[in-house]
Amino acid sequence: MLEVEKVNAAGGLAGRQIEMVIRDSKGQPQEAARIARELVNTDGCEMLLDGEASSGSFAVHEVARDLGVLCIHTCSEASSLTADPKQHIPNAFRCVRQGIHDSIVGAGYAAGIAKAKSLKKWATCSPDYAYGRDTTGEFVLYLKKFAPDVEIISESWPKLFQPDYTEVVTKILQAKPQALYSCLWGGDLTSYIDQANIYAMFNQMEVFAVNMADYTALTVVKNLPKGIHSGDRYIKTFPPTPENAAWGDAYRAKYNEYPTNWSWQNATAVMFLNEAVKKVNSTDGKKVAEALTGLTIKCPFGADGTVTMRADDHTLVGYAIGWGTTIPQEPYVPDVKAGDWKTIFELEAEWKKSKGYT
Amino acid sequence: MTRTRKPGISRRSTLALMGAGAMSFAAPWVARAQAKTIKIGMRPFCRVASRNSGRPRAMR
Repeated sequence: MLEVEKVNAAGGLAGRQIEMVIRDSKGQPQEAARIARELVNTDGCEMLLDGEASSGSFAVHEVARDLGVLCIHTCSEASSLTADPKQHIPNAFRCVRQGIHDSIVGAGYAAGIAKAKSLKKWATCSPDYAYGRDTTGEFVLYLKKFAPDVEIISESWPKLFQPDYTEVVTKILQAKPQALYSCLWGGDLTSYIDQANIYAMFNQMEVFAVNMADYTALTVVKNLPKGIHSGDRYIKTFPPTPENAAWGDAYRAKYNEYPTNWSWQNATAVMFLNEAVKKVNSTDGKKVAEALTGLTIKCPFGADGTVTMRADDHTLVGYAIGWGTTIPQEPYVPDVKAGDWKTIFELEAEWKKSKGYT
Repeated sequence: MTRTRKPGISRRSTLALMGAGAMSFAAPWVARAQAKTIKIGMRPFCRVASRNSGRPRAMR
């Protein structure tokens, strides 16, 4: 909404003020599809920002395919949503970080530590749905590529929103891994850490939790352990630029809370819409979609100050992506090691080929 | 601007029930309304829990 207000204050999209029409699908894919259709057919929405989880995003994607409405996914990180050419439609885009990008950068970072500390026995613990399974699989794939000695000795797949992790924690402790990877997130991750703290788990192994470095999790955990390795989600100190810090401060000043991973992704989607509409001086969905394809914009969340909506698969690239270790107080992850997009592109291309996507 | 849906029959639904004649009558009016604002539909991506408000419902 911060960005919507900026666009409206500057005159709107091609002179038209943006009116947000907001619905809650309660995380139900069928409801998400029904609401998406209703937003277009009944409420007269000309564009959709889809904040669904992976399962719901695929459903909304099919509605966008059917209706031809311009749709920007702003939450789903499951790689196949845009990597699989069967999913490709000209009117849909993904303005989200992506599992395969995180896995490549995370595995490279983790492999460096694995080699330095001789961490060969690993366990995984991730949520049991598309995002958890896919992202963990991609991380392990690249971890073994970069550190061939690594062996996965235990896997745990807790249900999404599972309240009690005792069984999972004890299973991992009994396996005695040297390192643990997890893509638990949000409340699941904070609950898991709070419960694992009881068993002093974080003193017994190196923990790599890709979704830790987001204020959603960092500020909610009761006792944030020092030294958890995490991918950045949103922190105002990475990328370390005045533009990013200013955006984070402006968000906090307005909402009295820190931005999240989803905040910057939705903000970036509105930035893209604004620039695409300017380019064609029209709000016509088809023209805007054509303008979005391959568009590069200035953006505080870009690795080099820009981000691009890649033309061939309509997905966001060039965003800041990196890993670091936590400390229990601000800035929480003081030294984030940035990923290299040249390497990401090379390995992503190989991965797409191996999956039969290209 | 944010608009949340209110209960009851919307103007569009009413016009739809009134049939094609009503739609013909209403169409220019609707077009003018659309020219003023552009509606973007959104499903909120998450709300973040504070320490006291329970578990975050964020989705990924």
